[in-house]
Amino acid sequence: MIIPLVKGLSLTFRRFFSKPITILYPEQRWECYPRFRGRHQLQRKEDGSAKCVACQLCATVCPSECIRVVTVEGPDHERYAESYEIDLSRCIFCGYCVEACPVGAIVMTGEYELATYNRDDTQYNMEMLLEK
Amino acid sequence: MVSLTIDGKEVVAEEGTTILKAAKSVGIDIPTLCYHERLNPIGSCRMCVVEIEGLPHPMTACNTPVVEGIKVTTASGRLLRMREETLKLILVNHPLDCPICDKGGECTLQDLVHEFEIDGAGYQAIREKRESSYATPLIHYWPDRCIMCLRCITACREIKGLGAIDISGSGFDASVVAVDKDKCESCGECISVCPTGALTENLSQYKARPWMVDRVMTTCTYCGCGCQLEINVLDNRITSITTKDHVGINKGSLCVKGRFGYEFIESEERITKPLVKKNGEFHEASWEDALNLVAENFNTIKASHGADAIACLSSARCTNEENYLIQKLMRAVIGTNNIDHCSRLWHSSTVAGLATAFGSDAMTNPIADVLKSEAILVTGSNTTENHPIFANYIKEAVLKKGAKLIVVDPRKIDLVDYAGIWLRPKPGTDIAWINGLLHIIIKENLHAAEYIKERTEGFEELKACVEKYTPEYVSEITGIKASDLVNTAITYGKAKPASIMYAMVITQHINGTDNVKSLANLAMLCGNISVEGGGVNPLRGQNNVQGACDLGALPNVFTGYQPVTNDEVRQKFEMAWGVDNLQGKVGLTVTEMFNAAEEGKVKAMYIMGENPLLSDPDLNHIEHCIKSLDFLVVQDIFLTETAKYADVVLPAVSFAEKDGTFTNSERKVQRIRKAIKPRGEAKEGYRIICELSNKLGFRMDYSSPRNIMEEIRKVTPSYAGITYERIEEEGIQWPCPDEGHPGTPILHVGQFARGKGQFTAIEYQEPAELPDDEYPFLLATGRVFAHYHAGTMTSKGKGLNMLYPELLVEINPDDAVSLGIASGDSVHITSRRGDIKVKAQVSERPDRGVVFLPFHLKESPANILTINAIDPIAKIPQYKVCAVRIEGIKQ
Repeated sequence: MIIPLVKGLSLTFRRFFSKPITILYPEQRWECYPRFRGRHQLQRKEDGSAKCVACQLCATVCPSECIRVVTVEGPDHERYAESYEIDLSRCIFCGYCVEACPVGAIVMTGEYELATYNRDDTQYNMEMLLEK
Repeated sequence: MVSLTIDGKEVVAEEGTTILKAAKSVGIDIPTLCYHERLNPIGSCRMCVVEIEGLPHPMTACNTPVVEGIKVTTASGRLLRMREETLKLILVNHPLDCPICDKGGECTLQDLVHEFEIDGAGYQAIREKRESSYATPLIHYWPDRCIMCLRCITACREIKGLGAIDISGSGFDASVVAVDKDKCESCGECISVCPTGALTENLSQYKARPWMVDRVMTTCTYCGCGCQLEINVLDNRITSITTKDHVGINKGSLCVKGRFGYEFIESEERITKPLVKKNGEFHEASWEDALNLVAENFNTIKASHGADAIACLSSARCTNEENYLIQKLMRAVIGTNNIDHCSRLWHSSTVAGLATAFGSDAMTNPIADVLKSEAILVTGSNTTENHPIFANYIKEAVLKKGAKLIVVDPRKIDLVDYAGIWLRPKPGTDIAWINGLLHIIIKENLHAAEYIKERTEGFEELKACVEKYTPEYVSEITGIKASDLVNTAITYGKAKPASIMYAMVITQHINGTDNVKSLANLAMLCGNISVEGGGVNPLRGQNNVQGACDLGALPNVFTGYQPVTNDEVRQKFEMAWGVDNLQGKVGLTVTEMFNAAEEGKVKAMYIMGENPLLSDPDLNHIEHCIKSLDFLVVQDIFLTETAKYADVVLPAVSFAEKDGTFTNSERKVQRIRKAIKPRGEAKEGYRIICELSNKLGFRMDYSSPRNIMEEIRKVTPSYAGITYERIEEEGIQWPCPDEGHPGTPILHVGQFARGKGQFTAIEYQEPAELPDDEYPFLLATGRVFAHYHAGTMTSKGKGLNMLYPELLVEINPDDAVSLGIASGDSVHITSRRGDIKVKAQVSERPDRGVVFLPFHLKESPANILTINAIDPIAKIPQYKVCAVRIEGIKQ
């Protein structure tokens, strides 16, 4: 009976002298891993316009159906998104949208501070998603 | 029958069947790209290669007929490799831009590339960006995506009979180009057969992927063909119109209006709230207030001037259910038979004429019957422009079945190119040439003597009457060469069976009813009624003009042509509707209503979905009549020219926003389905009528058009067997007396509706107004393919206006020279009633001394010129003949 107790406590005492896992958030901030799936970001072409061709594959593949894209066609038959909205309150950050995108127009950033005071602020529109 | 083995399976197929079809019949799928069921095999894509035992090379299954005893392999390793190579070669040119291609998701090539697990890395070539142009601005051609399967070109040639597009260049530089842009009708047949995204719709800015849209199957709202189409809806917005192969009479084809004429539905000009006029200005009002105002005024006028001071124009554009309700409202609630609709202006002479001859007034045969005809007589119908899908059938009959086409028309219409015989009578001389044909047929002993004896009456009188119409005499009146007339009579008389098609140029005359009776004489004389491939077929101009007539929106009959003068019928309807005072006096027709309004006999009018201020003859007169009304209610989707004079305007919905049924020209009752929500506060017509009726103190409670149909069935013998369940997939042709009845495609089989067919002896009489020195030209009015009727719908979008932006008057080159006019010059056209200014188009189509003017666009309303002379029986105005003067305007 005494041996398991000592074993357990020995782990506890060892931790006293190792580097802590928790950080003093928000004074200290966690550096996320490169493949972390945080908030989405839409990419731009070299000329500054959005890369998105509004093919709707992200919206189609999204399991929580939180992406809404309106496709329009310009006078020269170029296809682009008139609006691109993600409802982050429904998003499950699975990353399927990134995987589905044929032109690499959407990526997931390391931004994880997504809590808001207002439910409306979880609705990201195209300008917000294009911001760096 | 031939028996063969395909992949080890024993197959028995008919002789002449291709291997592809034989394989399909036993469930073996052979991949194809260029093959399309409606087209003759093209054999360009090489995907359907199969091995036949004993032959060194593989054969294409789509165009190799079955042979007794052959053993076919459809999927060996060699074949798969060949197909893979074929696809790889296609991908050299075809970009893998599926994510941005409209077709992505329903593309045959995409499916095959997936199936064969190929990527774009097979072969490479230097690609140059190619300029793209196409036959019509409504379709965009993507040369890189084109796989040269030739479906579009074949469809244009075989289905439309046009040949407007063809291949130009060779190898990688080959592309589809317009041979003749003027030939293209922008029907979009090429889009519908394209297996890839090489042809895309160029109209809707909003794009949707195929899997995202709801496709709502419904019936087209334009002409009487009654085509079945799918409205593609995304987020309550229409993104395009598509079709399904094999569905409806159109079998996947549409015309330019059906495929591209949907923009009006979402037009900004739609009325979305009830409007009430105060001090000459329209103000938005609530439904409650607007309907109260209508009820109040109707009650006052009824109390002070009697029920007959109220009249109603119903609409051939609205559903059967709405037409039924509005005539019920007028008859049971208001208490008058003053209800009519624009069929008066188009086909009332058909109703009167065919009812006299046969006892029933509709197309006697379905349109697909022309494929069985040996000869087809088309007169007074510019079928290619007004009934494009019917025209497809006529062309198919001529081109593929070898039928002889006889066109009798003063204009050189497009069908003339397909015709064996073209007669060009002077406008308004129809009875003369028909009598001439009767004369020759009887002289040559080509008439069906047995049939005439058994099934008809009045032959002797007819024979005596046409005695004097010798070819020479007829030639004098009509200008048709005597030998041509004899030729025509012999061709028609010898053909068994022969079909007759006609439209407005026959009906819109002061002797329209007689014209129709004459055609009936001709058909009966040769025993062509009640047989497959025969018949007298009036092509009805509007989507539901047949239905509006059937459902009693006429002053003299209840639903199913049950006369209001018959006491028994009235009692039946009194019982059904729970009223006891139905009027037995025949009401006023459209043309009489307006005259009565001018005289002060009609004080109030309810106009549902019609625009008489553009479509009726002698507009200045109509305008004056409408102004004389005390109270005018207009129910419409736009603020039309007529609605501007209204006291109350009620916003209704278009065909895409409501449920119901339309009856097409072939008497086929077909469903329309709600695809999008009504715009703004607009309401379905049946709700408006029900609410108004309730305000007038008569309860009408229908939860849906289905319930109204149930009531229609009870009171209408010819519709008794038609339920929504039965017409869910495919429409039914009335008469359909009970639920077990399959419908009646061909009328008068065995016996005419009136017992015996009635020959009527008819003498030729001159048109009401002939050219003289002051007004030397004959003016005929009509339609062009890009527009429809008053243009209320077709002029609202950019697409159709692109094709025909402004009115053009067609003038014969000889006349143009003598007047000193060239194409594009502005001219003044003056008649005794008014004048308009339009641009001229010099064209071979009209004869010398005749000009043709479409009446669609409000900028130059052709009907200011037309004469209000009417047929004494049918009261149809004479749109087709009036005398005008033309003067060039000096720039």
